[in-house]
Amino acid sequence: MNLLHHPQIQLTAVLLISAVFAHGFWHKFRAFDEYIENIAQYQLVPEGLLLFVSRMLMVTEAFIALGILIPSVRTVAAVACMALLIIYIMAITLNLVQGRHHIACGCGGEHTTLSIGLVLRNICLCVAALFTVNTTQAVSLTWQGFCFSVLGAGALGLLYAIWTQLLTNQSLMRRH
Amino acid sequence: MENMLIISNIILWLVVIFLSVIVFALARQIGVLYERVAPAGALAINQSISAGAAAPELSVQSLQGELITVGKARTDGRSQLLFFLSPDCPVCKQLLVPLKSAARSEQKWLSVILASDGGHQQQHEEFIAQHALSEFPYVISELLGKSYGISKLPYAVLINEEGIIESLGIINSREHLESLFEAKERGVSTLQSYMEARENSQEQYYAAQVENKS
Repeated sequence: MNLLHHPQIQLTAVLLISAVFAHGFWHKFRAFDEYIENIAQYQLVPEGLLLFVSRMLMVTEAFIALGILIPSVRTVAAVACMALLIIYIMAITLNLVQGRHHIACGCGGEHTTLSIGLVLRNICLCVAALFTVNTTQAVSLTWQGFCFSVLGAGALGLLYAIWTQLLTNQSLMRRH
Repeated sequence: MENMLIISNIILWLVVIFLSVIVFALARQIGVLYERVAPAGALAINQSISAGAAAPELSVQSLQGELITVGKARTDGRSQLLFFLSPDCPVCKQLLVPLKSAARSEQKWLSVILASDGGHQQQHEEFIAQHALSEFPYVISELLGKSYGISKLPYAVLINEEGIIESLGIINSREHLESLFEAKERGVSTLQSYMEARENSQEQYYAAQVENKS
């Protein structure tokens, strides 16, 4: 069986993407004013459009978190996920090139500033989203396969959290 | 046999998750420590000069034969770091490596001058040769030490391009040395004053919050 379409890997990727974007949405929803400030710091969105763009990004994240769980809209959610991640990667890279390392990423971590690590993290998520494209049918798995997918997604989710925390620590180290 | 493999696989996954939770908790604790532990700054004890004041202007000759003007406003936009030390001072020797590294990393805007106030010239020359300090101007001047009120070693004074003292203090570690640059960057005289101001503003913020609630 093609590895890209292996149901166990697909389910793992689906659960991981859903959890990551649900967390991202919840963080932005809780501190929306702070999030608007973070977006403004990127200096890529005109001031008049800041509120609209921030809301759109937040709603898109919520759509990805939910949509990727529903087989009929999974591909749309996966494409939206990759598009959003590519936009984030480009925005971060552009600011890094301009030397604005100190600005907060607004990506769910506390005081996490822009870095290459953040770009790599988003590239990895983009690759994970690739595994969920073209899986509009419900994933059929044995109970063992389902268990391994859930456990695998949990482990990958924790690795994602560790990576983010290390990036936050790096930002705090720079501040000191 | 197959059941055993499945069970062992599930157990392994659980172990991976458990270990990941531990690693995350440790990384989180390090993050919390960074947030809570304030940076230690150089202790700014001095009765003659203070940060924000004009630096005493002096012309002194270095051991290399160069005439150096200390404390004068400079046209090249470079700041001066006066590092007071002595060949007899063990802490000074330990700080030479971080000093060289700081001089290299801040070379775009900073000139380091080493200053001492006593002893035989030969002793200082041996000290320079032993620790490869020839890249820095080395000044022996009692007047310089007195003018800058140096009573304890090692001591450093950071003078900006306008001849104003940016920060100063006793330097006992790399962290103290870096605190002088940090204080300049943040526009405060010492890191202690910065932390005090930050604590006060936080207390005022919390007090305002309590008042608003009541």
